[in-house]
Amino acid sequence: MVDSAKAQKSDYLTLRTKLFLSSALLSSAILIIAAWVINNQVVAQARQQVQAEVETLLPLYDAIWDEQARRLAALGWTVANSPIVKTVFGDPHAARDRETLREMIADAGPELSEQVDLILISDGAGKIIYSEMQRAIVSEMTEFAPARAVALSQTQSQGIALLGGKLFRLVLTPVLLHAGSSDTYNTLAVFGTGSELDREIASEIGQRIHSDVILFAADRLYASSLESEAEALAARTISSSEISRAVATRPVELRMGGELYLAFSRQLVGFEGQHLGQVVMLRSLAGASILFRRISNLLLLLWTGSIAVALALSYLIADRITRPIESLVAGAREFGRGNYDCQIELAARGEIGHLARAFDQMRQSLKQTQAALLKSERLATLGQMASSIIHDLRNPLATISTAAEVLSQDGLPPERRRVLIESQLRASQRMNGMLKELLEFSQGRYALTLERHSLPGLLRWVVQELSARTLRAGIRVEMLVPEDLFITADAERLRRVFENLLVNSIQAMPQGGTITIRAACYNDRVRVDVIDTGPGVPAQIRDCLFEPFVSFGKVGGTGLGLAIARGIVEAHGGTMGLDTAVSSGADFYLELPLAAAGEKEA
Amino acid sequence: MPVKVLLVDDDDAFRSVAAIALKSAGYVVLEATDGQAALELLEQDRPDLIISDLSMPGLDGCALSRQLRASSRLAEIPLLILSAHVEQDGISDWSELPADCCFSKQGSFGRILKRIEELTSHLK
Repeated sequence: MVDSAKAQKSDYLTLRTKLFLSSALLSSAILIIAAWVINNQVVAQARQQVQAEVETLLPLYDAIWDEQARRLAALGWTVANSPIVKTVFGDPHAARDRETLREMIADAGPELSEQVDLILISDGAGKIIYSEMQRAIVSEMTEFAPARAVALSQTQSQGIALLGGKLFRLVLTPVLLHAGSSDTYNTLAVFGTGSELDREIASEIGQRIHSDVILFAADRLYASSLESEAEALAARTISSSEISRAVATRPVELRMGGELYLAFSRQLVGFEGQHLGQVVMLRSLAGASILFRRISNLLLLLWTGSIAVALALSYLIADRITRPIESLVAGAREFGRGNYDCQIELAARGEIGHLARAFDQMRQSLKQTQAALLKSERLATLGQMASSIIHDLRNPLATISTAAEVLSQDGLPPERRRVLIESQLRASQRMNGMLKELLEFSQGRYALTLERHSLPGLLRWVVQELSARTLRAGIRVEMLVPEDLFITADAERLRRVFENLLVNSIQAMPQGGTITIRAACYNDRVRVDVIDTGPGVPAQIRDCLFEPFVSFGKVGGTGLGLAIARGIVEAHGGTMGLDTAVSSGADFYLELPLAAAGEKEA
Repeated sequence: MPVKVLLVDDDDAFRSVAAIALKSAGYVVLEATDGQAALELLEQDRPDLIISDLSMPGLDGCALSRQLRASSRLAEIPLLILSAHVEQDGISDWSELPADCCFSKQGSFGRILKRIEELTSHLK
């Protein structure tokens, strides 16, 4: 009972949990899908937006780049055409030592050294005669191929150059002198002015195009607008990405430190038109991530809320379902126990309500049927009882009337007269006993006079009482009962129970046999077995043996003996039954509570 | 020669009363408590008539009747069934019992004696 109740309790919990889990799962799934869709949408949107921006940024970058180029070119012409330069290079005898050239540069353009990071001067053949890098003379540099090319072509040329481990944007301008004849010029010198592509430039461009700018050449990063830590990461990422190798025209997505960037590039081209490296511009998609994170947080909040709602809802729904079901189950259980008046909750709506009402209708209809059945059963029992009583009373009645008939004759010997009168008395006593039994059974209660009795004493009394009959039938009675067994019982009634069992055994063994009376204690109870060596109880009546009016070929009984015996034993708080484990004979047993120690023996 | 009647009934009280009634009417009475005891007795003795109860533990009236009919030596002995379960004389609820031998235990024992007289008159 406890176990099944527990099992049912856990069933309800499972139902609730199931409801909760399914609703929680459903809402989680919906939210996860929503998050995925939103993320994709947001990222796609952001990417599109960034790409669109990039498309406007690239021309801006180009404009900035070209403007710088123009500035450098203009500066180159300014210097090359300055009178002092013409003077120094126009006079073949003028001194062209380093000091002279330095002075010349100082005079040529206002603060030229301040405006550029690199100044190169070659002679008319292209041989470098002066080089200054960030206002420091670099003496070891003598050859620079592009300078010779410019000296020959006599046109200004611009390109990116890697010099002294630095990246420069350089403009080479020829210093030309009219040779006299109309269109011929002599190259007096080549003036190179360059600005380093350094952090400053990168930051300036970066600021203007709202991106991070990285100058990457010959597989290494030369300068960038990034912080040093981010710069190292960017160097690693870019060198392993296609953007450092191919001439990328389309933006490439890069993931750096968990952030998504859109990278696009412009080539760095040398004087011979060769690819030297690239300017990589990074535009963060962090805006999208931030937006998505904000949406994610919102979704998480929504998810928590929906889980809470699912929890509450599942409990509410489960309560709505399980409470009426619990009521139904409790009702059904009561109903099963035979309580046809059990009330169940009918208020529930929906299917459960229908079920409850259908159940209640069934209960009422069954109650009526049961009442009708009980009535008809009682009538049938009464009829059976009446017929049984009539038959059973006929035997002693026949004895009495026949005896009276014989007694009415004259001259009957006194001995016969005595026997007849005794028979009449015995028969009427038997009738009285049967009627008393019947009365007790019909009332269904046994008023017990409880006293402490010795069980072996009680059994000995019954065996003694029946000794004449057992002796006549050739039956041996064996007593295996410990002496110190005491019970609290109504001695008169209990004697009748044992008498009933012994008489049954005697009647079952007309040809003699053995009756064994055995008693043993179990905890605070005693079990008494009455075992005979007769034919045993026929299988067909074993199940209804203790029901009223079941007898098997017995005479002089009401068929109530065992039914009454069981009633008496149960009134004593005991049980009575037939042990079917024995292979032959009959083993009737009864279990009674033992008397508590210290009670006085009657 | 007195007529010998075997009386079979497990009800001690009724049997002793009926035995006295029969003895008072001049019959010699043999007694048995059930069908089995009756058959054992019949092996040694041959009564002129048998009166038996119907419902008895072990071998009952019907079974005794069957056994008697089956025996060549005993088949001729008239059998009267005297039972509380017979509602009315001459009406049998048991197909194996001839109706004319069934008597109810109710009513006067005199009519039983009269019937015995009829059945045994040729012996006197």
